[in-house]
Parts: sequence; C-alpha cells; structure tokens
Amino acid sequence: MRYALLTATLLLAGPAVAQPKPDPVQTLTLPNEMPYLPNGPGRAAFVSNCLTCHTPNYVVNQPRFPRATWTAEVNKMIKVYGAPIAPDMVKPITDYLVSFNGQETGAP
Amino acid sequence: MPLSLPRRRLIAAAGSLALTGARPASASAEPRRRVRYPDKTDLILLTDRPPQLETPLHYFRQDLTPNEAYFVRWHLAAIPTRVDSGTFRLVIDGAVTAPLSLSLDQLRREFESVSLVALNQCSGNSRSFFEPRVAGSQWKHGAMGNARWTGVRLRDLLARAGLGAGAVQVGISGLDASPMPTLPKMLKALEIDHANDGEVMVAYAMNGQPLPMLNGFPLRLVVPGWYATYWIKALHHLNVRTEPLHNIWMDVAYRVPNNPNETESEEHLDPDSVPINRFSIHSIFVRPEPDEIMRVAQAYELEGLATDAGEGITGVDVSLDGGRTWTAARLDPEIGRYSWRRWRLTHTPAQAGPYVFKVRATNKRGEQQLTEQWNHGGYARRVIEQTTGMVSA
Repeated sequence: MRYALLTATLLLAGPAVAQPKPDPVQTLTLPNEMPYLPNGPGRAAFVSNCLTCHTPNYVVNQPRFPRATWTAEVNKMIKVYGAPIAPDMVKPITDYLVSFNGQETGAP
Repeated sequence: MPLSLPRRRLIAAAGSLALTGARPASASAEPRRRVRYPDKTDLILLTDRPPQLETPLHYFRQDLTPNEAYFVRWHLAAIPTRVDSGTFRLVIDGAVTAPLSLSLDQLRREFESVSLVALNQCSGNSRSFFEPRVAGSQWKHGAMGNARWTGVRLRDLLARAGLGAGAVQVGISGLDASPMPTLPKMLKALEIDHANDGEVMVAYAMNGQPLPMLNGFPLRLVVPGWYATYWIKALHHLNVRTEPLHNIWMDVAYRVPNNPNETESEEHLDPDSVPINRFSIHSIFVRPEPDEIMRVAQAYELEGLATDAGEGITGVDVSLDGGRTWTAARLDPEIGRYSWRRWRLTHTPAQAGPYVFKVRATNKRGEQQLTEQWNHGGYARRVIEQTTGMVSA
C-alpha cells in the first residue's frame, strides 16, 4: 500500500508530459449498446436500411418529433448523407420512427 | 406548491420542470443512460455507433476536465480501433515544396513543443435547450471540456513542408472512415492564414497524457476558440489546397446563419449561411444541478462556467429572481486565454419555494448572451441560460 502510494506520488511529480512508455499499439473495443426495438409498422425497413451505418440510439435520443420532421430526417439521410435507400422505403421507415419515438402532428 | 408536503413528495415534485415554470418535461425517450467505455468513466450515452458520450455536469467543477470524463463525439461509424504508434505517420502534402510523412517520434524530437489550456466544444453543445427542438445529437451542456494540450504548432509543420504557390486552405482529416462509399469521410478545412497563425496545434498529449483512443489518439488538431468540428481526431492527413474545399462537411452540415447573432426562425431560414467558426459567448450553471434542492437560510455557493472565443470574459451576472435583478458573480483567476472561466456566487435562500436562476456573461469585445436565439442546426448556442429547482424549508 505504502509502495503504491509512493509510486503514485513519483508519477505525479514527473514532468508535465509523463510518458510512461505506453504500449505502442493502442486498441479500442467498442461496447454494443443496442436499445430494444419494439414491434411496430415498418420495423423491418428501419432495421435493414438504417442500422447498416448507425446505431438506433440516434432515434431513441431524439424528442418525439412529428411525422414531418422524421420524414425530413429520412430524406436528409438519402440526399445529404448518400444513404442508398429505395424511394418506396421512405414511408415504412418513417412509419416506424413515428411509432417508435414520434407522433403524427404537434411539437415534441 | 404547498410547503408542508413531506420531503419525499417535494423532491418528486421538484423533479417536474413544469412546476417551476419552464417548458414541460418531454415525454420522449431521451434516456441519457450512463455507460462506461474503454479509458472512460461513466458518461452519458447519446449514441454507441459511432460513439457520442456526454460529460456529466459535476466534472465541470474543476479547471481541467479529466481525460476519462472528456466528452466523445465521432461522426461516422468506422472509427479507428487500432493505432500502432510505431508505424503511424502524419502526412502533409498537396501544395507544398516537400511533402512530409512524420512519425510520432519525429514530431516530438524535431519540433518545438508547445502547451496551452483550451476549451473544446461541440458545435451542437446545449442543442437540446433550443425551442423549437432541433433534430441532431441532443446534448445538454456536457459536449465540452477544458484541457491542457501539448503538441507542435501547425505553422512549424507547414514551414518545414514549405507552402507552395497558391495555397489557400489546409484540408484536415483523420483515420476515421465512412461506412458508406456514397458518403465522403469527415474532411474539414481551415483558411491558410488561420492554419499558419501559430496557435493552431497538432496535439499529442491531453492533460499530460496520451489522448484516449476515443478522443483521437495519437494526434488531434487543436483550434483554439473554434468549435470542435475543426479539431479533427486521430489526425492523419494535412493537405494544403489551392482551392477551397467543397463537401458536405463544409457546404451543408455545420453552417450557421450569416448574421451576428447566428439566429433565424423556422418560418424564415436565413438563405445566407457560413461555416460555423469561433465560439459564441456563453455561460452555464454547474451548481446547483437541474432540479437540485436548496435549503432556506443555508448558504450555497453557486458555480458555473463562462466561455468565449478568447477575447476574455470580463463579467458574469447572475439573477436569483428569474431575471428581474442581476448580481455580479466572482470570477476565478484566468488560466489561459482560450480556457473557460469559472465563476461563483454565494447565495442564501430567504424563503422556501421554486427558484429560477439565470446567468449571462460579457466579454472584452462587449459581446453578451442573447434573450432569444434559434438556428436550424442547433449550433453555437448563446442564449441566457436558466436553472430551476426548489428551496425547501
């Protein structure tokens, strides 16, 4: 215990940029924090089109936007971010977003 | 609200924002669950692929934000998960007389080491407080952090490479990649004069330690006073350009209305926009935390932060009565031009009931926070902030 404290003190007293010879290879293992995806209209379209590029937590961590906002988001993914989503998939994906974390009309 | 409620019920009631006159709490999911990532303490999960993790407010009660608590924000899912310090190279090419490929050892040995304390802040920090709500990562105030950065001046690297004729910008990109061929990888640009100002830094250490992988090991660009979208992580490539960069990261995303208050409305979006740039002046409460309970006749030290783009905070005013009257807070000593400035104010509540505190900062340029501001990206927030809670008897 005393030895550990002494070591910690020495490390703290070291130069401003202490370089305790880290492993030259740094790796990162990312946890999977997949949220529960309840059943709902368009769930399959959502899963197969959206989750290739990003986590569904993007949906969970939004206000309950109205359908118009969710539609605009899906179109943004296609037009701005180049997501290869077929035009006839926009409606079912939006249906799922509205049922999962949205509303037909109104402010969130 | 009757004050004779049992304490348990009072706490439960204070948990509802509606009680204190603010907007009703959203019924939305927005769970803000805590998670622990490699080399990180428990942070607030926004997204996991790519990772976006927010710093809990209480870490802002220190001058420097610990590396393990520093916020994380990547754009695209293919983030670097393995970096070999021995073979890693920083490439500097484009309109230069001698393209460079520098090892980490070379950066440390062959260039002067510089160090500064600087705030880094996501363009969308505090986005979730905009009304009407804006789509995007729903940060509260924790998409920022103050750190001591150590590295080399970008100017010195560019001088070694030798700027070629017609250099107008430096393109900046890292080891992260796009998951989709149709989406260009994260690539930003700084004007050449900015890149060459002697302050923009290629940092290899953060608070005296190598950067955590999630914060951009082994190198990240430090652009003092500018939003984090330019602070490219896992910095790998500096490309000197003879023409301005046009891609979605400069032309579509990260743009703010081209007016002094960076404001517009949903009905009247400003057709004129510019790439986001220097930090807005802003200040927040760190303590009390939202919905915290204070006690009558018991002195409480309010704490917070004020931030700007490096002009220098000259004052922070706090209102303890919902904005009717304002009191000057005490500023902590300045610890760097590009650092945040901490402030404090001792307050002894005289009576029980709900409280609404507000805070606003002023800087040397005479800039202040705004009573109203909104823009479509939820960027560069500069609104006078408030915090609410209850004083119990």
